[in-house]
Amino acid sequence: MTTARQFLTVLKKVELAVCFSAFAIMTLVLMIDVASREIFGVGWYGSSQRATFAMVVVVFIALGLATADGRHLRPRFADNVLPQSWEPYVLRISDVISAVFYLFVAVVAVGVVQVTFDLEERTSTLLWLVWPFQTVMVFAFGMGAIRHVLYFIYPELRPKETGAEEELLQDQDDRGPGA
Amino acid sequence: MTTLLLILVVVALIVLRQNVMIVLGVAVFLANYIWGDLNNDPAFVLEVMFNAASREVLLSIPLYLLAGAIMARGTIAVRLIALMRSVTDPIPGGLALATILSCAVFAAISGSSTVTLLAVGAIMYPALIQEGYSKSFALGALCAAGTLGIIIPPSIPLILYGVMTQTSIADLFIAGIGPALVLTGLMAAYSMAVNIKRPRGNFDVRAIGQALKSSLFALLTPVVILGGIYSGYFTPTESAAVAVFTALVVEMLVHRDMSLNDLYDVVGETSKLLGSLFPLLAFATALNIFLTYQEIPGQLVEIMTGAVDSKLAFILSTNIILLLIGFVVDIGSAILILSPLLQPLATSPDYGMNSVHFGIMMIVNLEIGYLTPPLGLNLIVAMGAFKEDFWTICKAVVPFIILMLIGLAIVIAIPQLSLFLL
Repeated sequence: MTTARQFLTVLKKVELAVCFSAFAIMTLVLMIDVASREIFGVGWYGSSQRATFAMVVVVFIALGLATADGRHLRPRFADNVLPQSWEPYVLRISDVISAVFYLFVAVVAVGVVQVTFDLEERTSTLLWLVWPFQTVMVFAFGMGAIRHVLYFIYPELRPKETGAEEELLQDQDDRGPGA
Repeated sequence: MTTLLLILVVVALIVLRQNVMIVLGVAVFLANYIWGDLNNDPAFVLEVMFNAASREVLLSIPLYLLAGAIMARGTIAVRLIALMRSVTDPIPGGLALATILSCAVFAAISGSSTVTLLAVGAIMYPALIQEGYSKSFALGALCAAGTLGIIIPPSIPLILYGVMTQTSIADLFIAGIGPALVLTGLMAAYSMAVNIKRPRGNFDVRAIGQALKSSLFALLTPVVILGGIYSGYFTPTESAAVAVFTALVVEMLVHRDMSLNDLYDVVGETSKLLGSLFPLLAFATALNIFLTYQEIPGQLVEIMTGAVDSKLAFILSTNIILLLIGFVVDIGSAILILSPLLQPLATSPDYGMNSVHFGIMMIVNLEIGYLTPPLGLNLIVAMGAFKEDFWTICKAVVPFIILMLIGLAIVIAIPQLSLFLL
């Protein structure tokens, strides 16, 4: 279990670093575009597309971060349909279903990337190859599948499910009143 | 039979604790497989999903979320509240009014209802209790005014509606101003009316001047963001990038309330929010495109116009459905799934609603869902933040729900309230 925990910790750190870098690129590119338009009278060619692909990286990599912290939006109104005593089994079945879904999407994503790779499909404005950006889907859903397999094997690694509101409350508690 | 099977699968997934993205994803893949004609290859769904996630129009969402998170982490809320308190002190029930106005102004900056409730509530709740305001009023005012964040631009729900229905986001932002003023006005008037007998303070020009000086940069931020959009100087996406830049400059260089480590944390939090929202958005778009291929919205229009023959009946039934959905589904999911189905109905010649007006109506309606049990987000947040019993908070928000329903009725009855600036 220690190895699994270490793997998940490293994975989360890498995902955070990638998201931070991509966010920085997204903001900088758009700011340079605005500044360039103001100073030189013309924006930076293709800046929106550059920023958009940085966004694609953020949102798919962040899928893993949301999973790692139990932050996905989930309808909770049917949580009491099954007896409370079944909870541990329900959670494990839930992990199996999630892992199968993520694995299925990752496999389909491999096919999509293969096709665009073979066709050498390019973006409209910057003429960048599309497939390197599409591989982020394979990574995101593939890692999602691995995460849920590990949660199934080691339920204690499964994050406590928290909504954004609970994170905010925790954050506020950490910083004290008035923060 | 296959439709029933699909519904059963969805229900089973919800019972087995699957998140909305997976429920929606399975529904899209299955629907595409069963009814997908020539395109029943699952790769089609993923291609649509990737294209949906890589639309330039979406760029503003992560940036506004980040700007809001940066400003919520710093001391902008504290400074704005100090200003509102000094300005409203000479008015009866001034602190109550300051609470509503602080929420409205901070909501315009942060774009988030829960962040607004927490940031303003942390300061104003103890202050209201200390000044002798009833606990019920304090809880109700903070929970309700916190919801103003989703109708006051820049609002993520407005952007989501714009993206899903191909309605101009800039127009939606502009259209949000009138209804936001009405809702703020209603809450402010009620807060003053029920606290009219409270002692008032003195008009202190010096205190106002000091508060204004301290909050000058905080006030500048919404002016830059909203002024840029409304004047047409920035597109919503450019405005979002400028918002992040301004927020960073104000918090890191002017106020010096944020370190690079704080920024790293804030980006991480924002990323998690995006990670839960965007894949859902991408699957919802795939579902929307599939439904359009199958001509479902057109068929729905035919069925609905056959069953509901007047615009009034349509508006009433739609609002009742949305209110009920707001009880159990979060606003993001509700907009992503329902807006592409309801908007074509609303704008069909039989009902003749303006797409922008319908979007504003939908969001004001779903805003009430923040205050309704069992899943009202602001109720849950308030319970944790103010350490109060859930039902005490539920009872406290009742007068404000009535006010918001009145506001919703006004928004519906007077389309020009939303459209006069367009």
